[in-house]
Amino acid sequence: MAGGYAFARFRFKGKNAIFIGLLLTRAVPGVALSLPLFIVMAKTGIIDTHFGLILVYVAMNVPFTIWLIDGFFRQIPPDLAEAAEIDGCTRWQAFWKVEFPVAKAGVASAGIFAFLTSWNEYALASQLTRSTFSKTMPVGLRDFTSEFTINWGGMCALAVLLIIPALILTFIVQKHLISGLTFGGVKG
Amino acid sequence: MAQVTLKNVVKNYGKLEVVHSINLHVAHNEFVVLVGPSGCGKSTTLRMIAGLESISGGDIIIGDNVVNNLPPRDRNISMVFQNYALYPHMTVRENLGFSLKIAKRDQTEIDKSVDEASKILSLEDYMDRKPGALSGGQRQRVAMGRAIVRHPDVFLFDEPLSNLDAKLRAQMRVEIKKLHQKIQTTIIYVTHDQVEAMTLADRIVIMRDGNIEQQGSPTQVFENPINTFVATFIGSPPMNLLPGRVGKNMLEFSGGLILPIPKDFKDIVKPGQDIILGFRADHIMPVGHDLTIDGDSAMIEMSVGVSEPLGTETLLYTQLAGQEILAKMLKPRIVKDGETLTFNLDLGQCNLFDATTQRNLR
Repeated sequence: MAGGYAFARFRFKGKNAIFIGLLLTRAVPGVALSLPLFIVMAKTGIIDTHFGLILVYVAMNVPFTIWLIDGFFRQIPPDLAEAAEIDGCTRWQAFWKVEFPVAKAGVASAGIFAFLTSWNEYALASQLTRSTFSKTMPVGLRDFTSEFTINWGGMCALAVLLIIPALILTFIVQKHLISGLTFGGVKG
Repeated sequence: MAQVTLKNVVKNYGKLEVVHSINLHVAHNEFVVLVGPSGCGKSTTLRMIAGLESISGGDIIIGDNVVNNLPPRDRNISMVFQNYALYPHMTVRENLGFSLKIAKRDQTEIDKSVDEASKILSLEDYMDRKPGALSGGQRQRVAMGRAIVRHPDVFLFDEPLSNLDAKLRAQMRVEIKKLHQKIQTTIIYVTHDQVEAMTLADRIVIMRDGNIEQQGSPTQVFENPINTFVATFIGSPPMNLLPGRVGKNMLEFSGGLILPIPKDFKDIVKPGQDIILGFRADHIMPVGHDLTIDGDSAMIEMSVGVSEPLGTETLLYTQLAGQEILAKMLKPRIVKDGETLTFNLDLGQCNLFDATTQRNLR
């Protein structure tokens, strides 16, 4: 979020280059990264741990999330933060009390996006996590297949369980996703 | 006491200098309007006073303090933005009370100030609505309310009326004037609309290309523009300008038109000098239309190209010495296109400008 805000509001050297660089990292297919990641993680000893996988997912989601959030902050007129600063806010307060609440919908949808991509990711997780303690649910689903039989009942049951957290999260953030929140504060 | 002083204030964007060393003093309780065409540096000047733009040179003094490096929140100013900049996620009441809440004032005190402001601007009925549910004029009032609850030393207005339609604009103009009478605070107001400048200001400051061209009361700048830019920018319709040359005791214009030299300028102009004669539509009227002239006048015959009846008066577009000029008729009657009338020109109200420097010779 901080990254997206920085790209939307501040002018700094090499901004465009960094931004394009960030997006280019998205152009590399995830699976192509799995082998190098596997080797690096095996060497550093974080293979097959929650920490290792979290690190990978964060690295993969940050560029796209920054890009999304940058777009949302760009839509908020800079006048709002300026008005807040004149009303007595510090730069920091202007962000938290005015710009963030207005951009909440965008931040929430970026959050859902990042959550869902990580939650549903299969290819990398199946490579980087193996043990029962560290593997993710999509990887776990595969355990219901054995050499000759598939336990459809068990697999479906797990699939339902898999959906539940995503559903709950969506319900929680749903009210922030109402569009048109930014309308009215300024003349469009 | 909150006077505002700008001393040799400069603003650069990289190598580009957009405001060139301007000096301005705004007295306590004075209503000063900065006016000029777009890109003249007036908004930048206002934003420098607010602290939203840094200054590249000079000093800005509010009250007795040099505020060059103070952030906006420490300058005790408030600002009304062109697009209102209301906080869309807050109700009108929260919008109004926001600055006091940030300043950690007592809730009872906040309520009192907010109620007071809402009464001044008659916003009582909308207090629990969000900005999105308000009309343009109401939003404008909320923006002004947000500015007055803090009792700032200085009010800054950045083209606050340019997003409103013509009727509402006229109405809000009166409200701003009333507001100034009620709250008696120093106001600096930026606009590109010279009508707003004329009607609201105690003093008008006319800017062009990052320089102050002229400042003075509305009547001063209207009657004695310092150069042709001010002459055509201030006043509606703009001043008529006729380029000509000084002859022997008279002014010569193209097409053989000859006019006497206005009395005030007799000793100033030299024969052979290129000049521009400036006069307003109010000072050239067909004979018999209540133009009271005390002093010299000239009679000119012209045929009317187009006439614009406005009810109480009619504007006449005519040709004189190769230039289109505007004249007025105070007792309107229907004028046929191409009709030739005899006009009276009040020479005592004319201005003469130097043709090369464009400056008023007075």
